[in-house]
Amino acid sequence: MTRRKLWLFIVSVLLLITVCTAVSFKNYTAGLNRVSVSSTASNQIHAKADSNGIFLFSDIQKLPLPTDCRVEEVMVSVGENFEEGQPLVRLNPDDAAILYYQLLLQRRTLEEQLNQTDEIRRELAVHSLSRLEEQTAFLSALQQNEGVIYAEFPGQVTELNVIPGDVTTARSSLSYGNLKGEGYFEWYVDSRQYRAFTGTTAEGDGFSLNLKISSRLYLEDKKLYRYVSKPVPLESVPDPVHGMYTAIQMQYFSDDYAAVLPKSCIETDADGGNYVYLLRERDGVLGTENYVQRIGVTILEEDNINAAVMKPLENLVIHSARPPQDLEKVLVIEE
Amino acid sequence: MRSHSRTSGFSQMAVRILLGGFVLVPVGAVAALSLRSPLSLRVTDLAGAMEQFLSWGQYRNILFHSPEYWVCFWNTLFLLVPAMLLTILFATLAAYGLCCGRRTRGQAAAVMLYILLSLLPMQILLVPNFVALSAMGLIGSRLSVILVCSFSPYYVYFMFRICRQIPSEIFEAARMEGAGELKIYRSIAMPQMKSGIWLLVLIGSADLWNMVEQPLVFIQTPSKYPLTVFLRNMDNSAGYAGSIVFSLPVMLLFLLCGRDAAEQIELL
Amino acid sequence: MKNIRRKQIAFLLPSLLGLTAFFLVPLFYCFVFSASRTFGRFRFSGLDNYLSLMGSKAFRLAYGNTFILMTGYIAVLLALSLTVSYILENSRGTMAFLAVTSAAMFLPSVLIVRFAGILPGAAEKAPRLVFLFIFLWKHAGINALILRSASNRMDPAWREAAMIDGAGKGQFFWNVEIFHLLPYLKFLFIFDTTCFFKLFRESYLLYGLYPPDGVYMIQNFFFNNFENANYQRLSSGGTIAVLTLFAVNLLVYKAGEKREITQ
Repeated sequence: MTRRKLWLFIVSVLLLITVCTAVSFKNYTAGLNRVSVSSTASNQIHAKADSNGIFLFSDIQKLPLPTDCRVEEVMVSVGENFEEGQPLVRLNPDDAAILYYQLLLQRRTLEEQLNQTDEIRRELAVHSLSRLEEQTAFLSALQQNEGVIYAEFPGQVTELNVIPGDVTTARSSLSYGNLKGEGYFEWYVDSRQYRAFTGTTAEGDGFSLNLKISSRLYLEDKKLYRYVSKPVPLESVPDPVHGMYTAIQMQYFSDDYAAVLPKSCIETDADGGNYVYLLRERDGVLGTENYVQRIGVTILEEDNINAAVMKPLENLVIHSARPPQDLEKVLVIEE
Repeated sequence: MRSHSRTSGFSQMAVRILLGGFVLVPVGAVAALSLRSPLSLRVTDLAGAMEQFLSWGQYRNILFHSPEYWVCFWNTLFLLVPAMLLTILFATLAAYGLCCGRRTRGQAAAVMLYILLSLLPMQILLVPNFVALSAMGLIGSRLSVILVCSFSPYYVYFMFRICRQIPSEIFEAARMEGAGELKIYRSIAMPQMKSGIWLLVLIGSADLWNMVEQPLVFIQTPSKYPLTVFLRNMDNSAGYAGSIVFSLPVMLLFLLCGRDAAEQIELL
Repeated sequence: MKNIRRKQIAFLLPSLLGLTAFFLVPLFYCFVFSASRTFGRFRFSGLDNYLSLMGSKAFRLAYGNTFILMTGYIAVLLALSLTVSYILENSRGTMAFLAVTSAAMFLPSVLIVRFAGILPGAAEKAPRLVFLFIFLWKHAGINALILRSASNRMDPAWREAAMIDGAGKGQFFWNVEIFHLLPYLKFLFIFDTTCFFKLFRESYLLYGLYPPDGVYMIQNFFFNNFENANYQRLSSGGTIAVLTLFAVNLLVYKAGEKREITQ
């Protein structure tokens, strides 16, 4: 056992150990999972639902077209705006005149009926008479206008089912929305997106309005919610068209939660439990080392990005280079 | 001169096999298990079996992926080497002091003291040691373990017996020639005690290599623990290989110093 | 000669200093304060600490266990080593073989502990047997080696004389050889007590700080009292342990002396 052999032994062992130590350290730090941490913050949960809605006039009236008149000309079409005093339809004046005289005859008959004894018949007669008055007034005006019906206020034609050459019947109609009135919106929201929405906006060409909800109806078979807004003045919608599509966005803002964290931190296991990882410190052989610990959280409310949990958490792992394992040693990097 | 065999060759063989097996089986078992792969793969065929049971994975984990293991290894060395050197120093000094010159009553008393104290195993003395060290404020530093181990009376008595075998005439002659005590110690006593020192190194290193209680009690920070404490917590992914690697230096030392040591034991 | 005397003392000084500082003074402190109520200042409380110690079930368990297991294990070990040494008489390669087997003492405890961990359920069901196994495994080699070398040192003339007298192999052993071996056996007994206390290492590696009742030993008791810094228990317990060990060793040392001399 010579001295030289001994020294050789000692030196080679020391060399080996040093090499192993160095390699181990290099591998170790390279192999550590890198994480960045943050804390939960006070925040609101925010969700939104986008929908397509349609805009409708609130005030739609039907033009009282007399029956049994030939339609000579139709000056407007559906969706067209007309102003006050604009001619809408021209009926045959002779047909109007015939109708007028028929009505006069009816009036005389009804006036005679007024002198009847029967209470009920008298009531009926009174009622019919008042209606007759309107119609006769209308017809006389029509005669004076040579069969042209003029608009009394600005509006937009919403329905028109007569064409020149037709004879008007009881079903003929020209409906229009009152341009001096109001309009409302109607849309649907999927039940899965439903929230207690706090605000709604409608957006379209050149307008963006805040809407208030007038009614909400749940359609069970289609699993949709149908919303109708409260009326808005038509001035706020430039170029309103009855039935035009608008983009509706419903927003939901919750109350302030004390502890909100990004949903990317949360891990869900097969049983549906939710877990996050917290950074902890301990004294190890290599000094103070960091490791992560998995703890369960209860989600109070969530949206697509964030989730609110019950207690505020510090040192929450928000990003890691690879999926963390419970009690894994990690290296913290500042972002 | 060999005496005639009294026991039959068969029973001798049997005893050798039994004892040898008894000693080797645990070592072999752990060594075999150290070759097992640290990942548990499903064994479906022969190749898979070979991969599962004959892999260097554990050794790779130990050698290249566990800095804690190596830090503890260095800790063990940092404890062992100073303690060993100091033990040799103090023990040889004391041994020489005890056996040079005439045997006086004081000398005999001192020897008796050492014998008495070496009867007590170190574990029992853990309590007084702890008291003394905490009074000196050394608890928590490596120095505590080193110091406690360097003054062990057991090795002093050991070296004393070695030294006593050197005939005192040599010392007398050297003194006549006017050599100072220190010189005698350095140039005569030490070389004579050399094989004894090797034995001391062997036994002492083995003892210190295995130290568990003293570090636990005197040093309480995990970053300074020697490998014995750390190995306790290793699991199967590297534990077996770790034990084998840990045993290697001692085995190598035994192989290197073994022959000298064996001679020495006979002389004891 | 005074010169040499002083120089002698000078050589002894470092070791003696350390010894005093780390062993003697603390031992003394331990003895003295085992009769004190508090650890800082000495307040005489007589045998109070000892009484409370006796009352502690943990201490009684630890002390009893240690005593029983120590004597039991050492007895088995010595018997085993003696048998091995007897059978493997000085044949060719015996010493080398024994030297190799004694290497087991030097191997780190982790090895044998890992092995004990593999044995299915042994650690839980039979801790005393496991420890016996470990104890024998570690020390059988070296004990047999020492006994064998002691036997070899015996004067062969005795054996030849006995053979001529017509004594058988066994008779020779029991009547003569054993007495030659007696001092070595005594030495080994003391040596083995040290080895026995080193079993604590394996105990810690296997079971941690709280082993099962069967192997709860005095060091475990000390450890558990370290943690709650129960100095009274520590000092009185330590004193008792030291004194007991002294007593046992001295007894063994003196035991066969008379018979030895007659030989």
